[in-house]
Amino acid sequence: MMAGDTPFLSVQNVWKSYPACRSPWQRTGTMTPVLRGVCFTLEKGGTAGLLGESGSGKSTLSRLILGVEKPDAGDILIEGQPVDRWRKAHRGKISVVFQDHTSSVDPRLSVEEIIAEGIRAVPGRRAGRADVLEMLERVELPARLARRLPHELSGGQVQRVCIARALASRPELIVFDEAVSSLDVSVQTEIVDLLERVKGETGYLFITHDIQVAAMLCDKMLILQHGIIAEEFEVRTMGEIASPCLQRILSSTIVFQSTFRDDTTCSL
Amino acid sequence: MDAHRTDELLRLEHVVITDRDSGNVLADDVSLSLRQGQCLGIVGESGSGKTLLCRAIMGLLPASLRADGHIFLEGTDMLHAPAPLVRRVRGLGISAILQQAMTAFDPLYTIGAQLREIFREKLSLTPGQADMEAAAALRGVNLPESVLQSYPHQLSGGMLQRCMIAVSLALRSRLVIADEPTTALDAHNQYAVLERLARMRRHGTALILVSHDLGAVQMLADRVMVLCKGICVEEGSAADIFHAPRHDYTRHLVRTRLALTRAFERLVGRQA
Repeated sequence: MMAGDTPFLSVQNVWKSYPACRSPWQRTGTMTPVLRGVCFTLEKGGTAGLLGESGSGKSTLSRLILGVEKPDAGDILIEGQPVDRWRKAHRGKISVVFQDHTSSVDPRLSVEEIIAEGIRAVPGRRAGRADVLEMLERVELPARLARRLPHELSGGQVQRVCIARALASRPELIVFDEAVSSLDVSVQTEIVDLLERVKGETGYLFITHDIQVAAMLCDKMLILQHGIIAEEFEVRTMGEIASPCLQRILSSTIVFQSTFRDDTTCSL
Repeated sequence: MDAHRTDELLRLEHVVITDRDSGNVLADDVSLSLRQGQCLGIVGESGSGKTLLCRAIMGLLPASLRADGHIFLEGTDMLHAPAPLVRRVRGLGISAILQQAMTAFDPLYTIGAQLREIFREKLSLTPGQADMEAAAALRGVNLPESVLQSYPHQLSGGMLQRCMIAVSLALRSRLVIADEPTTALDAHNQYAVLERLARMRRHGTALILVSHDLGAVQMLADRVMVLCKGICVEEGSAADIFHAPRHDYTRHLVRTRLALTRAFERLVGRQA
């Protein structure tokens, strides 16, 4: 699409501050900077993990990339255009999957209708039942769930529906904001498996605090610390990087140990 | 089950939790025993009854549920003893670290005011001492003193979680029930919190750690109970459960977790 060396997503020296409050009814007038000059790029179809501690500004950055908030300074460009303008011209081409799956779907809509929303996000596309069923299959949900309401599904199933909705518009970029963090480990692994298969179809920015999940799903890793990208590297070179920032993360990563060897796949 | 040991702190005997309306059995015949300084990990997927079991131990089951069997906490049957006695035993002996940190504090008071109240009440301190204790408690969980002046909504979930842990640490409870204490936290804070809990254990606090993160459970627990749909499918030493799981469900849990670990270890060359 875009020729030459213009990256798909380009975040250029982005700053964002929020007002500091002393109490709910008393603003101090000062601003707390959250992002202090964030710079990075993402190629078309590229997958990047954005890693950072809580409060490091990961979610702020994701809102800016989605165009729902504007940076105080700096630019966020997609294919060389400001993100809000690009989004108007390319409806449905950026999707998002949030951590809180229950509040990201309308409780009155059936699974079918939720997924149809995603398909219809692209102007001119109609959502037929076949399209919806195809999406359900993509996220490995049985077709019989199509008429169910969100509260009738488990958390993992709702998150699959959210992923189906995000994929339905055939986006060029999906922002996953802690999309697997609140799921059970076994469910989490299933979703990670699912996302591994999505890789290659669409680019994504995977926001997480779990370096193990990010390493599995992404080609590139960005570490956000004190409002800047403190470290940026290719995941496959992770073993060779000696930065204190990465070492600190690795040293507090809990690696599960087990000598259990069993390759039979048994289902419950 | 080796009952009636002198240092036994908690004993569950055939605990059955049923929904009064539907008659659904939510926890079926669970028995366990916990000694001082011991850590029991409870693992299982959401809806397996982990949280209900914790609430039953604290004597805090919702009225719509009924619990049968016995839960002895230092000899008091938390299911059948009179309410004031249950409240006293709970207040002095147990503290809880819950998943929903946001709802654990009163939104209208600063953290400092709430910690001061807890410490004055529970540790019989003067206001000045309570303030010092509160500041020390926050330092112990890596929080700046300015948190004392903050209202709950001004803090992140992880910070509130650490405030709760600071309270449990300061109260030196004999039993801490930590229900998914690290789910809301980032990796660094997760590790810090687990280290705090490990330190509490070394000081003789017994710990029930409910988590779906096998790595976290492995770090702390010496015994592990695996719950699946309200039934304890396997119970044993942490080493046995994690290295030689017998039940299909436990194997499934270990296998899925290992898939993540192995990919990661290949990348970092086992330096983690």
